[in-house]
Amino acid sequence: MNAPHPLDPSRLERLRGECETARGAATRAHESFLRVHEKIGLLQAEIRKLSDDASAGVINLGRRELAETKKAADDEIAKLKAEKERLHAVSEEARERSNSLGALYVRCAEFAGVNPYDR
Amino acid sequence: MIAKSQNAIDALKRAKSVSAVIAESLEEIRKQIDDLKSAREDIAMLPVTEEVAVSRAVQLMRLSITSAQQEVRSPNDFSLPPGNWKSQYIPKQDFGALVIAYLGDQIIEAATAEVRQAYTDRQGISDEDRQKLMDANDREILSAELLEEAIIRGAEEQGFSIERRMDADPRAVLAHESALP
Repeated sequence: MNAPHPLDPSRLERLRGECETARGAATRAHESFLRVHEKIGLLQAEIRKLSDDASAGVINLGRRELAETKKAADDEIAKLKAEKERLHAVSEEARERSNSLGALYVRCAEFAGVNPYDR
Repeated sequence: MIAKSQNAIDALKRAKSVSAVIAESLEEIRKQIDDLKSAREDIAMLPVTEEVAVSRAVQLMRLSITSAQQEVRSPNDFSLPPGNWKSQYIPKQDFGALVIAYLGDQIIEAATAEVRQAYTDRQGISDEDRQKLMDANDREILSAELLEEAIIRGAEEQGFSIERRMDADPRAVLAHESALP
């Protein structure tokens, strides 16, 4: 750890903390994205099943009623898709921030002679 | 209640202007760092001195001459009847190698003159001077990175979160408070 000025080893610990916080935020953001993605899939499957059951006569659902239910589901899916897109952008940003901080931490730890992967 | 809200609005305005000042300062210092790093590359690409360039050219020529002389027939072979030559003469022997093997000294002279000619309108730099320029440039980069770190830490103290550059100098990121401008 050579520098023409005094260094503060506690800065490395602080950076490590920031790094872990950023990694946690990236994981949470990705999980939120996945939850919405799953919700869309479930809703699509649900509406498909409802449609199939109605045409097979398994459930008693009139045409109009079915169309209304489908429309409500489609509206909900459209909203969820917009939300998914937003969450994707958030997740990507969080991932980039986490990667960037991670790379900086690795360089600083190596400079300080600390194993960056020893957690 | 209204006074409280007004205070909050004023604080927000101040915060906005502080964040704008931080963003501007960071942008400026980061540009300066980029410029200094480009300048470092320029220093690395400055031509060496004329003598170093000539000696490189001569060294390369000598290597080519030695290799060509091993490749082509030795002048001593011609003093013997062709039947006694170690291998039969090949008319299509590499003409370039023959020229280099037999006219090596003239080629070195010509190459040297060409290199010297290339230096008529520019000056080279010695390794020592290049190192001095590099060291001065590196000191400037470090100073700029320390200033950048000082801005980031100052912003953090004000409650703003600023992302550090991935390629920030660890000496700046880990610098003790007392080392910052």
